[in-house]
Amino acid sequence: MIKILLIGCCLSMVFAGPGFSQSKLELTSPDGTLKLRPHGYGYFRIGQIVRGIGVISETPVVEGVYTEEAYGGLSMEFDYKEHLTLHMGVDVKMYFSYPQEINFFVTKYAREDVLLGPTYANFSYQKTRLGDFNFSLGYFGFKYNPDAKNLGEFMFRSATYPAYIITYMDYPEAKLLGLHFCHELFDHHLKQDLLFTTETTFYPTQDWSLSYLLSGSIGKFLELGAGVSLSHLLSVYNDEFDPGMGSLTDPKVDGDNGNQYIDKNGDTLYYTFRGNKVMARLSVDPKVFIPGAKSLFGESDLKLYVEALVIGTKSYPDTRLGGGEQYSYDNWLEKMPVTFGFNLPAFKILDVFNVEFEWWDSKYINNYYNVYMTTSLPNPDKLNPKVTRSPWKWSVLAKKSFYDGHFGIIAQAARDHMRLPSANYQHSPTQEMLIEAGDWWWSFKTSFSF
Amino acid sequence: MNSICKVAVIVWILSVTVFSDPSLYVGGGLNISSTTATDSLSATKSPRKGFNVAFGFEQSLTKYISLISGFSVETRGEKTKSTTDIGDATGSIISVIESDINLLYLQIPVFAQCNLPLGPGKINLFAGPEMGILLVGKLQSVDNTTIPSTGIALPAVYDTLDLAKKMKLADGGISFGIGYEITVGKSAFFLRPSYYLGLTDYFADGPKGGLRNIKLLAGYKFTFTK
Repeated sequence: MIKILLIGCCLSMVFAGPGFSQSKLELTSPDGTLKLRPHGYGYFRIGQIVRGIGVISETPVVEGVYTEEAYGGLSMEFDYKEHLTLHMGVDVKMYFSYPQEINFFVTKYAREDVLLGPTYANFSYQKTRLGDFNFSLGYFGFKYNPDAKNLGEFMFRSATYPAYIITYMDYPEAKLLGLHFCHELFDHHLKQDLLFTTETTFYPTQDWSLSYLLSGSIGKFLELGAGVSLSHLLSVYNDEFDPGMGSLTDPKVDGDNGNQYIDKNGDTLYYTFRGNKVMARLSVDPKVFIPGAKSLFGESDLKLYVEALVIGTKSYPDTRLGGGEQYSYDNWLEKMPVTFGFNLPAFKILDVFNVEFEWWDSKYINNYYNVYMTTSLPNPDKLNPKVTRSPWKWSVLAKKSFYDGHFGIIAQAARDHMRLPSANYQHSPTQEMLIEAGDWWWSFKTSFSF
Repeated sequence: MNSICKVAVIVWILSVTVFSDPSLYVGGGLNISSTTATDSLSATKSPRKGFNVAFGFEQSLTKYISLISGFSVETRGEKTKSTTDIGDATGSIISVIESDINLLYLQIPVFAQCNLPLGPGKINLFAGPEMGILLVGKLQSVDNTTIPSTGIALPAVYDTLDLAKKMKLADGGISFGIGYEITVGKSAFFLRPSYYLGLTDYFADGPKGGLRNIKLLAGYKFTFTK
């Protein structure tokens, strides 16, 4: 088959029409059953943390930390006949460590990590009597809030207990491993997603989570979405794996550094990583009411949107056995980041000119050190009296693409959930760097793709 | 008759719809800022001189009306000077504290602008809301204490306080101004003096009051083909 493909393939350049940002290179086998589309993408990013909180410093405030990163990826897309598409990709990221440590030479030069790119099989059944169906299996990108540019889109970028959020510059989506079933109706105006995914980022990894999302739009003016995720629903390492210690998801550790608490009935229970997330979002595009808006404004201009996510519906009381550090999640507001954003008018000069804010009144710093590095228990980290957490985050992003989307520049200033990488994994960035009022960073990125 | 005139003016302004290519502008200039917040009645206040660097877009809606958005990095703040006698019955000790409130904001304006042809260019009348995101908030002070009876001046004490934790993240207000632009082909040089009136308290934990700013923005704009 490959031989036929190589010998007989015909090369065709398909330049997409208006509405598509990229041209497509497509190889088709002579019998037309197999189509192959190569993709490549990369970026180079520089930035600086103007003010932030250091990862391991005794004096927490750091200023002027410079950061660089380069990224490249290649992927292939194979269409086999009508319904099956295979995606396979490999990405490589080059990064510089922060901090560069005197006694750890690997932190002193650029490191490269090989990452799995989009690698999944997709079965697609379009325009059936019951709507459009897509079923994906493997490692795929997933984005449910098309408006979120930096803040928001947290349903799959967060862990429940302790509540934990991650963001990456200009990558407001999640990479998920597992199954994804998507059903769309009414010319894509109603969409539902069912996902059964295994944790790849948030400990305990390999746990399975079940999620359902529903979204609908009324014309082009209003879009509503909601979802629920039963996070860490199935634990793969149960009590039998380590008898008496509970599963990794539901550990049972007593004492000062344990995870016991007393509920309102006086029963002794244990904090767990297991938790349910509930999300709701709304997006409004007032351009539909503005005469001539199509010729004046870019597609995303003037859009206003909001998203709220409860990271864990279960509340934990403010009590603990063993006399250790007190911690709790007894207030919904402590585990409910609310994000809202607005696309300013850029009159098609820019693709996007976006402002986003996030309000999250957690009393704990967004940190996973306790989970990753010390106890492996679902307890938040101790409060640092030297650091005053601000409930507010913000982000301003400008994006412009050239050459039909093959080249782009992105500029961003933000106080988001960024972390800097380190080749010394013991000092990996479990804690976000921009915590206090006055912390922020800027970054500038060029991206290229085909 | 009066109503008819008003309608006629509105129709005249809006009648010619010209969606020409938008313009991109870059500029910079001087900021002279002050605040209405004060926590010391004895302090004398004076404006702080700073800078602005702007980048933005302008789109004509009609022949005479355009819409402006963009962002700028701008200083805000003020200087204060307070003189206090901290001595006792044996003699006076004069403490003079000079403070400099240094604020840096990322400003995001959305203006409506009326462009009236005059000579080789246009007069620009503009106004609209503006939001500021706090980037830096610092209070730098120096305490010069003297004992007049002996003529002794104590060493100056310098101090820097991080104000950001006491301040609100965002500041909201309106700006308005009048400027002039000289057209050169499809581009133009412009001068846009404006006044910013902060409508919110900029301190979250501190004295009540808003920000004020006089801005002199000079820049260059050029047509950006869609």
